[in-house]
Amino acid sequence: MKLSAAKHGVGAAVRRLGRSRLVLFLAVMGPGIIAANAGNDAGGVTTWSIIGSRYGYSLTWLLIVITPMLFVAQEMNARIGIVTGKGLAALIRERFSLKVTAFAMLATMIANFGTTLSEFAGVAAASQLLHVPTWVGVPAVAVGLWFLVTKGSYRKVERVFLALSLIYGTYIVSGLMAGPDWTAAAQGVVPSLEITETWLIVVMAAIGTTITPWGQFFIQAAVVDKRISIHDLTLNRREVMIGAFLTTLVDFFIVVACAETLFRKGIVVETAAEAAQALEPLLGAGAKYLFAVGLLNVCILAGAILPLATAYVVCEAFGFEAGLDHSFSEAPVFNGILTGFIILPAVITLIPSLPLVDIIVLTQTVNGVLLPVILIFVLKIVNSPDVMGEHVNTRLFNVAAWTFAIALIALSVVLVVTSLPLPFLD
Amino acid sequence: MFYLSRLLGQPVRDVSSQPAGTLQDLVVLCSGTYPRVTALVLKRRGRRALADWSSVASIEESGCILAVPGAELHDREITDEELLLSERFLDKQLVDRDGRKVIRVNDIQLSRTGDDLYVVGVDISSGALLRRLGLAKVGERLTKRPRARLIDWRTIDISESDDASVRLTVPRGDLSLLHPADIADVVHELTPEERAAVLEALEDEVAADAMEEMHPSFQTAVLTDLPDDEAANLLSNMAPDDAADLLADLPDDRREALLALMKEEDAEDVEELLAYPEHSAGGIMTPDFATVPPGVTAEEALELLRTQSEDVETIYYIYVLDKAGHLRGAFSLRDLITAPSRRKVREFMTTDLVAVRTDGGEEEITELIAKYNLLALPVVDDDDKLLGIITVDDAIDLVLPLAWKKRLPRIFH
Repeated sequence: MKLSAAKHGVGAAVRRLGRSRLVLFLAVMGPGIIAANAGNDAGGVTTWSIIGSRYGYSLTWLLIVITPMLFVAQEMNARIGIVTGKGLAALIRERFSLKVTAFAMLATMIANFGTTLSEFAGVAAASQLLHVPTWVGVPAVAVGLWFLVTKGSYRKVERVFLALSLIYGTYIVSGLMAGPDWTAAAQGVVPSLEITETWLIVVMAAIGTTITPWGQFFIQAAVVDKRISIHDLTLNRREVMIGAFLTTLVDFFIVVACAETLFRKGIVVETAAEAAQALEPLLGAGAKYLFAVGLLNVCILAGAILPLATAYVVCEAFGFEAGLDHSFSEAPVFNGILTGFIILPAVITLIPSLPLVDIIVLTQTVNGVLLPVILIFVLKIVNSPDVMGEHVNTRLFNVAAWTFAIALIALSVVLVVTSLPLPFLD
Repeated sequence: MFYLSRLLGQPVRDVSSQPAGTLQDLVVLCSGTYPRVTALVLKRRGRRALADWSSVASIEESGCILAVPGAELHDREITDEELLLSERFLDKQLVDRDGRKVIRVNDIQLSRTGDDLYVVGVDISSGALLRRLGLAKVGERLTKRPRARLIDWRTIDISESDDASVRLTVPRGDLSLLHPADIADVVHELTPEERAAVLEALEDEVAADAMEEMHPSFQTAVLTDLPDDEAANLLSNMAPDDAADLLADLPDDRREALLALMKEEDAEDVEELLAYPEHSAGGIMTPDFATVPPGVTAEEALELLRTQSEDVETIYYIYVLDKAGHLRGAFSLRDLITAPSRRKVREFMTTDLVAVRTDGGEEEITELIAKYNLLALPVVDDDDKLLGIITVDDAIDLVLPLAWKKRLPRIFH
């Protein structure tokens, strides 16, 4: 480097340095942005649409709370992955008891299965909007996903994921087309509480769909898989931050689009598909298709990541061979979970008159309740010096993360209590 | 026989029966073939304390008792040659020689030999997981008998193992589960209850092989402890000659009961053998031998041998029988594979055979085998019908003094 600086002058060296930084960033890029954006799945779109149409801009403050929390949660897992080279499930198994591991795995599998089911429900909704029969659209996506995940090499798969992330722009475009009232949006920054069961469920679902338990497992696995070096901790932190920001930016524009149309008209939507249909008179026939394409893409992205994350996590906890470069006979459990988590939810989605919307909201809530449990594991691991060495949490991170975890637990308790038909609460 | 997971967390009491702490880990010394436990790691009043093996009065799955007062316990550094068993190995990822994942270390098996406690194997079965989760009953319901799958500790490469993984010296495909003879050695050291538990935990075939390797008096003792259906199952899987010897030592009513429970064809073989006096050629022989008719070619004989190899005692000698079962000749595996593939068996078989009658004595058998350097000796009736063979390893058992069989477990030295 010194030699080339002398030869070509300082300017060229700086330019080169700048470019190499960009190259470095691009090399590290992936896990943070993918993991955060995959949180904006069918459940995410549904939840934020409901929020926008029901509460207008009054829950905008929630996004401001969620963004740093998403960053804090994801950054801790990415850091653990970089420092230890191990996945979260491996560390839970090695640091906590087998019973705790089994409980965590069972809960994660149930939550992930429900979430995958909600992705396929999203696929079904999108294919209806695109005038494709559900029994054609859902199996086609399932088969396509299975080939994408099992037959493509991981690098290619990752590039497909990254390309898919760009289509989140759809939401920003449709939000801007609605001509938002920026003053009203700014007023929503002030937190407002409303202790009703619906409000609590919606808030919990919004948190549970954005900061997901599986997202924590996934980002750590992805960082380990990419073998990101400990020297790139700062770069990686930046990537996680950008990922968190992009995610909630998209959420914000979903809220904007719904607030400007449905909320103003007094229509409270029940599903994302209804939200798309309600946008039709305002944005023209194209809006519906734009919405459907966007929905389909998020469902495919999350529908690929969820089975993958589940298979990786379970195999890691129990020590089975795992990885996309292994054949079925080399890694039977891994490939079995992967296939089961694609085929079964697709089949269940095709069962007529299944209450898919209820399943989607319930799953997001289950994720919200499971999240503090996972966060506590993460906090215990990230704060033990014999695992993390000098890279343990800073005080600021600990205060933020513990406050968040405790608030989540409190929220879960209140939610459970209010949803129980207890006479003394009336 | 202990599982590490069952010992951990158990209460430890001191010499005056006062609580001394809970068991956290075991310190092992890795100098021999199998690591030896040198100290217990206790959690005592929130701090770590070590109890050297010499100060341990008893160790059971229900708890440990020390021979010293709890107040005398203190922490010490572990030496370079010592390791913390649980911290270092339990729940760690097990990878094979080529770095492929096998499974996590679900449990670690320890065995008491004399006054010492040794680490003998790694349990990789999913039954171990269920047991540790307190779901052993579920496992029993799923598969009738959850089996332990023990990897011999000798295949673990401690020098290549680190925090990330425990490495094996072999590829995943040829993992050696603990050898029957080793298990037999280990079983010698057990109490009757432990012995029954170990045999129940083994694959049928492995348990039967382990039985065959045991001293006859032990075999009888083990069989006495087992419930009838388990015992019958074990006998069915043993070589008929070994099973017959064992049954001959049992009381008449138990023998009849077990024979009735055994698989019909196995029982028939055994009953035939039981008809002969125990120390005669008829009582010693096994009816499982390889045969071909005289008219087949070498190529066909090889094919026949392939189908028989699972069931016969030895494939090194192949006996040629006519349709009535008369012994017409024999050839060795070497004769077979060096013969041109189209040559008929009768053209290269040996016809001047050494054989013994069913009433032949032990001395006659051993002399014939030693004199003619045989790997197996055919046993025929007065009509020259082949009834069985006596293999060289059974003949060795006849000549070696019993004292040799009571040797100390060789694997620990």
